[in-house]
Amino acid sequence: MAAIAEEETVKKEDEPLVMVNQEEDEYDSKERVLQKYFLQEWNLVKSLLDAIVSNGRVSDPSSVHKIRSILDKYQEQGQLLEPYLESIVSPLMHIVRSRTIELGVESDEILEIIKPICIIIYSLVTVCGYKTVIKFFPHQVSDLELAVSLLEKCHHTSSATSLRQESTGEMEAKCVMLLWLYILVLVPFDISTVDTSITNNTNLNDLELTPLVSRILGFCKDYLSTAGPMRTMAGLVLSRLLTRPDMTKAFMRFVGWTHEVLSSVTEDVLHHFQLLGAVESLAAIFKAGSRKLLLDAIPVVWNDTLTLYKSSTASRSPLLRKYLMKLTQRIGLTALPHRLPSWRYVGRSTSLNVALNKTGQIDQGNYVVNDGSSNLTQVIDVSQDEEDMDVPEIVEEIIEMLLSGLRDMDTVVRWSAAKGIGRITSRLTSSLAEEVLSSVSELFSPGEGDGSWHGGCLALAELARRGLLLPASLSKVVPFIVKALHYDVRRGPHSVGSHVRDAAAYVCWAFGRAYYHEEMKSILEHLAPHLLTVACYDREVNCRRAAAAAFQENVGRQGNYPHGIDIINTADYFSLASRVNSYLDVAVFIAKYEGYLFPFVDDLLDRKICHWDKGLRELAAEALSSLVKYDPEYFASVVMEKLIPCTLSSDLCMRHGATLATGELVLALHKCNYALSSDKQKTLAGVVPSIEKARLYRGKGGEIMRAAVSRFIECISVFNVTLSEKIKRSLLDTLNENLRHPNSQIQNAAVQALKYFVQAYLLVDDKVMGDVLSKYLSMLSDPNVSARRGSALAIGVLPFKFLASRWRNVLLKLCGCCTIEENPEDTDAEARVNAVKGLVAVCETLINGRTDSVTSLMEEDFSLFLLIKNEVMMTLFKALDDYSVDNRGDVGSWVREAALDGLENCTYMLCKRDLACFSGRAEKNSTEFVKQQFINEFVKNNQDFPLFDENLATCLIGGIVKQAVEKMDKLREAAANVLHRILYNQMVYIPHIPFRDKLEEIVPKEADAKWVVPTYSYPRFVQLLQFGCYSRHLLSGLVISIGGLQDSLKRVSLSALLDYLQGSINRQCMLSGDILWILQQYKKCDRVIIPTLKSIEILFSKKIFLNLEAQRTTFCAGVLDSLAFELKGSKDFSKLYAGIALLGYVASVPDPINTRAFSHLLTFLSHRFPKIRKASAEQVYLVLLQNESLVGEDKMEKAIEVVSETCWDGDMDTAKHKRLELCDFLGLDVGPVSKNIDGASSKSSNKKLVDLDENASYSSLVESSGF
Amino acid sequence: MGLLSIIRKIKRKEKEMRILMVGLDNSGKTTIVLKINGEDTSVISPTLGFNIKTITYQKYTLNIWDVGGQKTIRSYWRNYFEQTDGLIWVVDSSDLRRLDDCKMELDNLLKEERLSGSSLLILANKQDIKGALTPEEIAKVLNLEAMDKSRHWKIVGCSAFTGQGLLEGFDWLVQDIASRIYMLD
Ligand SMILES: Nc1nc2c(ncn2[C@@H]2O[C@H](COP(=O)(O)OP(=O)(O)OP(=O)(O)O)[C@@H](O)[C@H]2O)c(=O)[nH]1
Ligand SMILES: [Mg+2]
Repeated sequence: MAAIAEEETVKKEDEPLVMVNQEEDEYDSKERVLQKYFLQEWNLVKSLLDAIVSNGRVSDPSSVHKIRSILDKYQEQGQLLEPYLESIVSPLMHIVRSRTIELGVESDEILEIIKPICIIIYSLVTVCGYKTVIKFFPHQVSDLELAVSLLEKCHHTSSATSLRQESTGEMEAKCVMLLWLYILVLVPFDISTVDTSITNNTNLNDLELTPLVSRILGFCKDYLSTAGPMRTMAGLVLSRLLTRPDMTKAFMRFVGWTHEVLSSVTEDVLHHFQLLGAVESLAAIFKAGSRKLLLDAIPVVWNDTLTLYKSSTASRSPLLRKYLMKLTQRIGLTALPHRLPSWRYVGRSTSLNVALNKTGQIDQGNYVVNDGSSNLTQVIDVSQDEEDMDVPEIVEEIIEMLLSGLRDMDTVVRWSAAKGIGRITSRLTSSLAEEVLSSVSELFSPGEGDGSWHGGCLALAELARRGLLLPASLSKVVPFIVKALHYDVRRGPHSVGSHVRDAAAYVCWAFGRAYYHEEMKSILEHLAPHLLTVACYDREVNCRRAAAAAFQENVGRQGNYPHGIDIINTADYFSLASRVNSYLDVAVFIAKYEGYLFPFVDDLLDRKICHWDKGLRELAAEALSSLVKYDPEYFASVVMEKLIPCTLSSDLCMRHGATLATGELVLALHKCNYALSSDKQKTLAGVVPSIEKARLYRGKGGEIMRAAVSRFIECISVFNVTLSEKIKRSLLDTLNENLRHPNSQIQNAAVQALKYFVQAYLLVDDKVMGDVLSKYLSMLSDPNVSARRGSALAIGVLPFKFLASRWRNVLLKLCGCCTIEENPEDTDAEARVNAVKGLVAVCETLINGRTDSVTSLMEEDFSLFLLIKNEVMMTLFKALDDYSVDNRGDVGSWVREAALDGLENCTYMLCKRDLACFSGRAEKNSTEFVKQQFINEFVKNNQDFPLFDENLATCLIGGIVKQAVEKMDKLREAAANVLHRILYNQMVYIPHIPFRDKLEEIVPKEADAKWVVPTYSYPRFVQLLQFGCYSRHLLSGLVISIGGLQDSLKRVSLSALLDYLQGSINRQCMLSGDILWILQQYKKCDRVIIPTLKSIEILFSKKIFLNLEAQRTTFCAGVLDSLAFELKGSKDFSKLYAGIALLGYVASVPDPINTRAFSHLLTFLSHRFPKIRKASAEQVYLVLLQNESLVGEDKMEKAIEVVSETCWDGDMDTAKHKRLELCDFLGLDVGPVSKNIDGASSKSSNKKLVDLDENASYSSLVESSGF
Repeated sequence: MGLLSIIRKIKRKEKEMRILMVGLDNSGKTTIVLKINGEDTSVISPTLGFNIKTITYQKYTLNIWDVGGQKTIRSYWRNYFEQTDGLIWVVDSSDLRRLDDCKMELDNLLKEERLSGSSLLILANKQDIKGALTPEEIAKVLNLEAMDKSRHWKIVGCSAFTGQGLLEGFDWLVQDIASRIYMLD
């Protein structure tokens, strides 16, 4: 349309402004991205296609799969491909056609050519839809016969696989050929003239059908009985073929055939497909054919349809019912004369006509125009003949069936029925249409199920879209729609109705599109609050978006709806994606406009506060409170009065939601500085006691209520609602009870509440404060873990005044709770985590309280800091080494994480104090008193040395970097972040950190937190291996990663280490020393030892350490010592495997120490585990091959023979025997193989070792391994 | 299927129009299609069958079905009726002898109820030829005024050679269809 396109720009201004086009949703942006992407991929597709075209076939099958996988990505964006379709489809179909002509249909090769091509074409069909693709199929008359022959050939092939990815193209070829036929049967020539099989001497009159037609009918009928996509396509072919003017006979025969199929229902599966195919094809035929042709067939077909619909077969098959619905409506449309009813509403053409008239004036005027609807708005006058129209009897039955389809339990059926109702009604008289509408309205009665409501909505939307729902009737249906917008029916623990709400939004959307804005204005005013309520508060994202889309459609067409544009801009597709955002931001924004606040509040109160979804109730309570600011008075009176009785409701959801909501409300009122009357305060004070009195903590809902009650207490405490002493006591009891609850959420809620409660109500009475603290301190050693967990946290939130007098005791007690409990029965990681948290919190409270309290600790001041340094921080360092595990895994990691955090905070406390002292000292003109004080303190405490000294700094950094290279992502990240904060702390500079510059280089200030990414963090941290003060800390973490079980982490950490070592002998030496240190430090601690052994093994395999001169012997000896100790008695396979491998490596080293390793290795040949025997035999074999000097050339052959020919994992005695033989022969000393558990020899033998130099260390080995 | 996917579907559907182009043979249908598509119009042979062209115009995709007009083919026209949004009837304004024929075929076509909902554009083609009748004269001969009141129609003079009038005609057709397409199937 080049010529037109050119002028288009000029014309723009005249373009009718039909609608505000706001459809840029997420979908469109996705489309844009894909579009860009496709342009890139198109080049690949194009080059693959070019190769296919130039070869005249697919020579590389993988190209087909490549193309298909690219195309598949555009499944929902088919229109992107459309501009390219012609250049894909035409050349491919050309190949199909020309190669068939060239090779002849008889050849077998042709099938092999077309199958892969059809795979490509068929994937286009699935992506873009068949209608778009077949436009580019050739359709010359001569192709018809060719396509029929090809299809016949395909017809007999069958696919070996049902997996699409593996398809070899049989199914695709059938489909493509059927679709080709679908367009070819349109050729406007008598088929008999095309059919070459009709020779001149065939007497045409003798033939019922031409052979070509018979062939088509034959395989189409076959395909109608299949399960694949060919069924639908065959139906399409038939619908066009049989409705041709020259096919009347064939049509009648086919209808006869379908009658047989429809009326002989059996249980057979194949027959079921045939049934589906027959009904589907009839529906297609009734869609394509002209009325004249079809009228005669109606009685039989309708009768079959009706009978079938009532059968049990149909009741079992939604698909069959769907096709029956389609067929029914098509029959109806055939039975009713086509016309546009004059009573129809045609509101929306106005602006167009105005625009058209404008264009008309510009033109030269060489045209005549008649516009049917020149009466612009609506035509309701009913002409006489229309009312007189007689409606065929079956139409009534048809409508009835469609109405029942609206109630169907399956969505697809309801959809079909709704469309049918819409189409049929458009051909009815206004009074009949009225009846349809009233029948549809009946679907919205209380007795009907959700299916009916859904179907009813769909039908209303269809009627509105077609202008069949007159403005006069709108007011009748709007109440139903409003109800449907909020439809939500509890069913068991959940509810149903989101599909109804979605469909109701669809109705509103359709209204917006259909009605002229005058008619719609008042309706929209009525609907808007409901639509926006759903948009903000629906639980389901699709409903929120649907309601917003409907609102947008209406506002867009209304033009100047109050605040419409602002609301649309806020409640858009993206902002509604998150429920939290919808509830707390979007809704709050909208509520500021008039008319929305009360409907919003009502929805929250009536439907969301008591929702079955607990999370939603919590959110609703918060949402409610976020609206308080708009009308505090209303909330304090009306809303609160509604809510408070509900806290005692017998429905758990209701009382839970109401309790939470009341609390949040009070909090929000507090924020508005709203003063509650003392009456109100009294009522609020009574809420929790009443709940307890009603014993609502019991049963299933008890836990839920407990957390809510805590939150409620928190809220009234913040508000400082007046409480009687009795109630105070009772609320404290409640909180204490919740504190020792095993559920951590309840516990946390209680702690949170306690924090505000004690501040508001308990600070006055010394005795009460003392009692409370004593109680919690004693709970710290309660046998009940929950009590321990809760009390530690509780102490953490107590204010300074509670702690002041007994601070030392509190700290020490908490320190004790941080370490792993002695009694294994008592161990509890959560209790320790809480103790760590509580401990640090108490330190903070004490330090902060010290500065702003008169009862300061002046004297005790310094001892507090010393305690923090010497006890608290040491405790935290110990906690950083908490590697306890239980059935949940590495639970110690929680403790370590809390400890990291605590160490950071304590560091700041100490450094601040150091700084204060320092600047105090520097203060020249301070008063004499302070000076004196200072000097005293100085002398007393040796204050020349800072609290935070280099030693502490080294331990701190060492502890952190160790965590930064271990195996848990979360901890590594946390550790790196702590380090970052310590290095660049704003409040106080952290001094005395060794190699600070290097650390700042490794952890740069401006790093965008990429610490979770191992390839980012490991190469940086391994640099610290250079510094003796950090290297051992770091290495003890690093080995866990290198020798651990996660492959990717292993790879990254190892390569970081290898890069670090690269070529540096010094670094290797230092590392070897550090490794030996770890082996010493973590003796028999398998958590560390096994990964360390594995790490050494890996390093050996990379030739690390093996080329060192002097260090090698020391290192190998150290490793052998460790192995002797570690492997003894070990039953851990991975440890044993790693150990054996290490022995192998050392035995192969050209160093006298190899003999010692070899001897040790040989002992495993008679280990009690067959697998270990086998593994060591393999190792021995390798050693022999590599290290000939070990045994001497002469014995080599024999040794290898023994090792390789013995079945080591077989019989134990044989193994023992063979081992002895081997040792004997090699002249190696060996103890008799005894019956001890290890299978290693237990007594030393008389024979002397070959190598006397090694004698000493060998005997030490013998000793230490308990030979 | 939720509202959002329905909206997507409906919007897509609203942008597609199916246009059927018929008229006596030699009236210039194929030439017109080629012209608006910016293709060469110098070598043209009678259409023995049909052509489908997809053209985008503004935000719409037009699927234009150009069916041959020879007498033997005309009885098959109705195979192409299904779901037609717009009908274009092309008249050779210089072929005075066959105007009766032309009127008869058009009348037949308009009786077809499956086309009753579609907008009708009559293109009085070949205006460039001397002696061609004006659109007003053609309208009179074809007695267009007598047409059913519910039909949206318009006649435009044009020439497939010069391109004159084509834009105007198509523009009217597209806008007319667009104005009611939201309630079409
Ligand atoms: N002078 C002139 N000749 C035209 C015009 N339009 C078409 N023709 C000529 O008319 C002849 C027929 O044109 P076609 O486009 O093949 O006519 P058609 O309607 O497609 O004919 P069928 O396919 O047989 O139905 C060709 O020789 C064209 O060159 C025009 O506007 N002016
Ligand atoms: Mg032509």
